[in-house]
Amino acid sequence: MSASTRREFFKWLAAGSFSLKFAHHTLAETSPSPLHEAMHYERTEGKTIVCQLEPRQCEVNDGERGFCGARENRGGTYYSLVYAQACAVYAERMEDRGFYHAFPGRQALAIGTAGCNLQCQYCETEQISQSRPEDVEAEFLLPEQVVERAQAENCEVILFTYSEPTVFFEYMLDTARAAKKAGLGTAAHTAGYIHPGPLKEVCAYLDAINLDLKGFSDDFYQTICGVWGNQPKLEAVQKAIVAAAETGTHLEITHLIVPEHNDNPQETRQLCEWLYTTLGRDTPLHLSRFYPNYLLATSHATPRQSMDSARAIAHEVGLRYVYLQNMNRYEDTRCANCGDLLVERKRAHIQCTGIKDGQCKQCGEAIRGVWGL
Amino acid sequence: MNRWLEYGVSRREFLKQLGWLGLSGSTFFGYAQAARQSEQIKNASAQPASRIVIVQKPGVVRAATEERYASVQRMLDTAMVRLTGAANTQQAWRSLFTSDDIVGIKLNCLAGKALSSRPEVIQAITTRLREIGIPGRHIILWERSNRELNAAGYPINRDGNDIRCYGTDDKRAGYGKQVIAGSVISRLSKIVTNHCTALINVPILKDHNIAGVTASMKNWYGAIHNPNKYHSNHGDPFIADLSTIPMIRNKMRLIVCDALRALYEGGPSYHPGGVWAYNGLLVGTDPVALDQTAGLIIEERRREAGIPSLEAAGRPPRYIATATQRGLGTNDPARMEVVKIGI
Amino acid sequence: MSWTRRDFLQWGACLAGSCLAGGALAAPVYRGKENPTRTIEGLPRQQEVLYTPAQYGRGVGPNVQCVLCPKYCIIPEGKAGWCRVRVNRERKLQSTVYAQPCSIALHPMEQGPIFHAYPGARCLAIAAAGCNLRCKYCQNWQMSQFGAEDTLNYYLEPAEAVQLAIRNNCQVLAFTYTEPVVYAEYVMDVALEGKQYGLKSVLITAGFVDPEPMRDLCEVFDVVRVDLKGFREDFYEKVAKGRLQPVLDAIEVVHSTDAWLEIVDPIVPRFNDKSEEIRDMAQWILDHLGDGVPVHFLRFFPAYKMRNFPRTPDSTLERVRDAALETGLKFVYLGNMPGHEGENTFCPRCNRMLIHRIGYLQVEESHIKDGACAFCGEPIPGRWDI
Repeated sequence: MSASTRREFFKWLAAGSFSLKFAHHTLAETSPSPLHEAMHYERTEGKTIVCQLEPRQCEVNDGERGFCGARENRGGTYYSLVYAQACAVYAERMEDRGFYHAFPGRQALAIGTAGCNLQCQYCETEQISQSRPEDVEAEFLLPEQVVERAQAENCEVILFTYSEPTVFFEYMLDTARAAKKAGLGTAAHTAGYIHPGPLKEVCAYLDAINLDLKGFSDDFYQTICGVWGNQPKLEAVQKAIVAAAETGTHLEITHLIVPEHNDNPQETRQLCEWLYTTLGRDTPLHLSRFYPNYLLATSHATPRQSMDSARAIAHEVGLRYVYLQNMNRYEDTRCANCGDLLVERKRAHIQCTGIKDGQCKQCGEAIRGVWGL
Repeated sequence: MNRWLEYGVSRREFLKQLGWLGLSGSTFFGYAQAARQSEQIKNASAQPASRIVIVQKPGVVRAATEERYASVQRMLDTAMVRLTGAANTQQAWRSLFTSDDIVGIKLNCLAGKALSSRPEVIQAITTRLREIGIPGRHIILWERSNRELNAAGYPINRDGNDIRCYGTDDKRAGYGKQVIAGSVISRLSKIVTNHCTALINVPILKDHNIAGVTASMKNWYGAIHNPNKYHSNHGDPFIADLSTIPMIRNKMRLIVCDALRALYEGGPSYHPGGVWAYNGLLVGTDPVALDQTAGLIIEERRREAGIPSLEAAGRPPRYIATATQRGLGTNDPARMEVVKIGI
Repeated sequence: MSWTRRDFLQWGACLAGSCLAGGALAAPVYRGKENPTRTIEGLPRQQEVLYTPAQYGRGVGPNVQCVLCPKYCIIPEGKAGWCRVRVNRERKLQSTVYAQPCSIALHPMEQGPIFHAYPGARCLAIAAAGCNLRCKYCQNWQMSQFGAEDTLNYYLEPAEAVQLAIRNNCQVLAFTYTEPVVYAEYVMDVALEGKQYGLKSVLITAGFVDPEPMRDLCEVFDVVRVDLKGFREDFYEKVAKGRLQPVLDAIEVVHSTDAWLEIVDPIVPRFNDKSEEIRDMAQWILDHLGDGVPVHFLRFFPAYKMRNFPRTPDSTLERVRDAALETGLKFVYLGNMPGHEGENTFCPRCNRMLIHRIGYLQVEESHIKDGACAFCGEPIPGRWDI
């Protein structure tokens, strides 16, 4: 380690511990916390900037933050306040974070930071996603340290999830790059409310990406996800999905079914048809059960009938890999061609026995996914 | 003649209003009309109109320091008496505050020393508050952060015996429990929730590059921990939703909008090209009516300066109409009474 | 001698155990001679709380969400959920009561009360600490309203529980007194273990459960007896700090499976005894579950936080029973009223008495043959054979 980087490192470290100790509302203003200039923004007149990372395109005045609360304009320069500030770092199974066709059964080091560029009323991680970086405890972890941690905990994959990877874009990009260098797998689970350009940029370093398609109407994105006014809504997410598919990164789609908001069969059918025509029949679709949280805490969890009928619709449309999530148990993956068991998922252990070189051992059908490193 | 007297407008003021009408053209013709209409409505339903008093004294910002302080004091006194209809200044303040109140004065210090709530105005307010028996330590000047207060020239005084001054980020304050403002969850400054019993809002009349106009309602962005969540869709309906928070709505007693030097373009931060000396104060208790008035003043100035209106610039302050729907006040000219006084 | 809270509660629990036989279930009045309710002594005690990984948990950010019951608690590290016995430890959902029951007793099936399943059978009743409701009239609050740290616990592995039942000539394993759903992992393991030895299993629950875990439980259990404590949302909110709709959903789930369902409603005067409410409830049962589901209305005894309310008078219970019968339900029983005709089963067709009961403990005579009335052959729904 060269002297300059070492000194820098200690400086950062000191700043990190300082900010932890005095978790204070203007930490970013009063303490020399590590700042990392944000990517994808433009200066307009004066010191105002426009964030070009995601479709909300926040216009941020000097001293203010974007909608996400994780990026701040200081004197006309836009900074990420969450770079290397991981507030959740846990080793988890890929299945637990919504991936069925990527590294099945493998341990992933999942990380997330504070902030989100949406405000879903059912958010289950609102303590971090709807908080500002200074309000949550964070661990100072540089990209290289994330890789080291993953190796120490026997994780083969680094997964960006929990809150919204878009808001820690710079951190995700650097970490993914470091992970690839170290030969680890990488994946991200995002709401897909991001511009195609930056998404493609990070997809170059991602093996798999799980994109949420939260609803299939602008109305849903407005009333439930907090995208207001004339900001692009569903269309923006669709663009992101198409862009991700173009990069060749393995893609899975998650659709959370919220009773009374997006559980009508017509909407589900339109969604499935769009997926079928845009991504083909083999893209895994996760239909996820909703639990009452946050602002929707008084509503009911999705009943099984809604889940089953949504899956029936998806099958009817022609999608071949449709899974139910949040139902307290894993589901097996079977070959859509011959029905042979490909990945067996029991509570304790998950075995990927039926796939060789990305093909079904039985019938040779190509199975879309990332099956090994 | 009698009719005017009946509704508390002296002949002199009436003539002055007419004079202003002649001077400043069409906009204030509308105001005069509005005032007259409002009186007609009063006649009909005896409903109190939202009164906004504009006091102007040409050249006040260029005057020498001592004279400036004295002039602003006189402007404020005139406005308060006119606003409340009281016999004298003390009565006017007594009608809004009691000597037991702990008064928080929300400044606007975003734009630094050049364009923040001016000490003259604060001095004028606190002088009168002391006169009605509120001790200095029961007056809190506050903003979002100590840094902003310092930058605007207000030294931090968190527990001295005289007037207090600190930001919400000060160790004495912080952000308290979560409240729901429309569709957003925020944490409210403890200064609002715990430290004060009454609030005076002292915003600056400014153009805002996102919301269109920033005056009274927009100033509460400084009372929450996450204003970034409120900027979508030109602040509509978020600005209005914020003012519906009971703690803010119930404690706010008075708005003194500092328009001595105002900003018609390039806000909310300081933009030398957009500043003009309006030499006035806008005083009222109805935030919606005040913002509506403020909006018209900015539009008027923009027209004079030959730049596109807010509507044409793509940021009309729609939140004002939303606030009317939320029942926070009125932007209906027929129910507003705008009194313009020149000194 | 200094008394800690724990000591005090333990002492209280011992006292209650010895006086009221197994932790004061809705105070049985009659003691049957052949089948007495009694606690089992001499079992190994568990001093420290053991943590066992639990199901129905999911990681959400830095916390864990328990999706077992409709509270859907999001539990921070080191804290417990609403039920006090499901905790987040090392970001895993863990149970503090697995294999650590605080009460083990013997009693007959009727004490459930369960009248249409295995009449007269001997049950090993197991209960651990914890409940996800806060009923103000709880009869077992010494157990249900505390966590495992505050109760005096045994250590009883599922296999040992089954052996204990066999040693005591029990045909049924029952989970009762507190809310067995909050230790769903344990009750399922015990019931599955018992199945291998031909033991039946009974779950006595308030039904405040997410439908998915309820379905899992019903796959294992032979009999599920659910409380329907009232038929108004505000009653559930005020008295039990729960909600009505999830309970109705859970009852429907039980009905849709093979498990035998009985419904119990404790009647509290002035709170949930209005005829209109009872009729609404009976109508709902009729529409969604059919007329063959036994419904029990229990007398309320002053207890816990409702000690200053009077016990339910006979007339109220009779009125309530009549209202339910009028609506069209065939099997409506009254509980905590020994000797009343509302304790007996009558044939809905020939109106002859089929089962004569005295209190919860005695089955005097039975005229049910092959699941039908011995007199007219009308089928009587239930689980009549072990």
